[in-house]
Amino acid sequence: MKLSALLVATAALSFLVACQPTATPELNEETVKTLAVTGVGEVEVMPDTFVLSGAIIKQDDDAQVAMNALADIVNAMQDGIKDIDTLTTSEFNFASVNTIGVKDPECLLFNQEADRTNTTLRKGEKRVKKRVCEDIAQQASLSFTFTGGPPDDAGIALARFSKAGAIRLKLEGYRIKNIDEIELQAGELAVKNAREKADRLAAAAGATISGVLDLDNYRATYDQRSVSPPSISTSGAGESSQLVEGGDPVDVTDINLKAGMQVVSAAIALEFTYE
Amino acid sequence: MNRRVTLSLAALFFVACQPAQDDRVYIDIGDAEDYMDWLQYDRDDEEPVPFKADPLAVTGKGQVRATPDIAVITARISSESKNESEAFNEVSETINNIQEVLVGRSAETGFTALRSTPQYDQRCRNENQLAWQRHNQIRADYFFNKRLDDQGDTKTKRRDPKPRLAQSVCKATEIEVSSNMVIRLSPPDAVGDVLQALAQVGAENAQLYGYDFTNYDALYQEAASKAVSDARRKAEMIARITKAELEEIVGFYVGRPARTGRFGPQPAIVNKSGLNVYAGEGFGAAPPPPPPPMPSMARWDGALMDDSIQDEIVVTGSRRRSTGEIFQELVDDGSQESSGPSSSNNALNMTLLSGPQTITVTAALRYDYKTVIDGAIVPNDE
Repeated sequence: MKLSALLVATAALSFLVACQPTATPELNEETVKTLAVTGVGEVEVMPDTFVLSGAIIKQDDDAQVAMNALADIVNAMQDGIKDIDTLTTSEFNFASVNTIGVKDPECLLFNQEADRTNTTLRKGEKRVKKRVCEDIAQQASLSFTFTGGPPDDAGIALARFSKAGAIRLKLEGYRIKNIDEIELQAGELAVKNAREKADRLAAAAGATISGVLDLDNYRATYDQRSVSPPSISTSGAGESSQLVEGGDPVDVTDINLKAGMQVVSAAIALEFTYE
Repeated sequence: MNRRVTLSLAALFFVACQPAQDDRVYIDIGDAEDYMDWLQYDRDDEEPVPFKADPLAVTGKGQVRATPDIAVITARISSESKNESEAFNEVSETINNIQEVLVGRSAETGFTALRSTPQYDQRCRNENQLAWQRHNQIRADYFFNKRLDDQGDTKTKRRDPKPRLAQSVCKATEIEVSSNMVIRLSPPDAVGDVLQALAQVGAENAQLYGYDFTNYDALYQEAASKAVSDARRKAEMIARITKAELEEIVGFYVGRPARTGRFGPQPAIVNKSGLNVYAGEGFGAAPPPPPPPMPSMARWDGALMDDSIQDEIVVTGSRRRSTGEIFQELVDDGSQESSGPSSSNNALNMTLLSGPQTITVTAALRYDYKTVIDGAIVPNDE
């Protein structure tokens, strides 16, 4: 009887102990021993293509004539790049094409000022009567981006476009087709570099890296830019409405714009624990 | 007799009615919490505390001297004309001449921010700005006076009307075609010749942006290791002399590398996300970069630093800084690079001498250590 009672008590005790929740080690930020290092990784890569942006604006009394002039420039641009023997990639992207009536900017500005005066009319001031603004011209415009390759041909393409009559030209930058993969490679190098630094520094201090505490994603550290074709505004008053004419185009010497290798770099800050 | 009895009773009554002396301790309700804290503190104080020394804090400095093998040069090319393609042609010829100058040299070139922008009559724009400011003043005065009228305030003086200024349509005077460029020249000793040649072929603002190392990270690692070894050596020396026994390292801080990307501006890579991300300092007509982060390499500007990473280590005032963060900042501040005898800021930009540079990294270690009285009960001073 005594023995069985003892057995039952022992079993109950064992059960109780076994059913205790396992203690979860708590991390104390103040006492955990960490070493913070910054890892860097760089991958040099030749870009695949270049990206240009620009606009074509043509005005005439007749919208049809303006549109035809615009079409002539587009054709001249396309013909211009056909002559570039080395060009392997050629892709136009027309962001906006439209024709609008251009109002007299002086008249538009007068009406703007009339609105301002009328809302703050003071004693002795008369209400300003607004004018009816007539179209002074019909305008056809388009903005575009052009992706071309190889990247060293960017200067030649720019020169050909300018010669054809395109304006507001801009070299937006270079594109790397497999940028995600290159970034990943740079990130991998950054993580390896961080670990290498941590090991080396810990060894110098007589310690050993035991693990990583704070795993963060790497950050790309190279310049990146989105492409935005020039905005063409002719509906406002003041200088925003001014037609910026490129003038009659002249011959433009091809520009020798060597793209060179681009550096895709990544950095990561990691915290390692040590013993 | 009656009178005596009456007096005795009166005296007894008087004494009995005197308030009894109060020996109780009154605690102001407002002080109650403090009192409880005091009691608790007192009790805590009575508990024996075994002695444990504060960690030993040591700092170390590591320096590596090396000669930069790259000079970074920046320049701007521009031309203005009423005819855009004429301006383009001039810029084209200048750029081609610059490339000619660099033939035969080990130089990487990059062109950034090549674009054409209309230039408006600046005087007209300034006058328009003044007219706009005046309009805002008139508007503010108008509503000020109107509010007084609405409130029926007859005492406050009304603001006098200011004359209106007319705006005008500003003409586009010329079109500017411009480009910025960066040259990474190796060896850097030729930088003087190249700068001179650039100026001769029409480059504007040709300047030495700074020097760079192809193996910067390896140099940083060497300096950082030296700094840690130096700190460790100091700790061991102190322990040896004081006959203390060093135990584990409880604090480990090393100055971070000043650079996480390539030094100097470089052409942008067109991304797919549609966002503008500027890792380093742009220049010329490029959009402004974010403000430079903590300058741990003051001589070289913020272009060296990676802002995205910096975001993670900047300590804001809204959060209490841990001891570790304070240590890290001190260590970062001590880590820098200097150039020979003239180690002031921008020293490298002021001289064309590409002599050896010193990369300095600071480290701080905190060691626990054993003493002969470890575990002994320390009597309370009070």
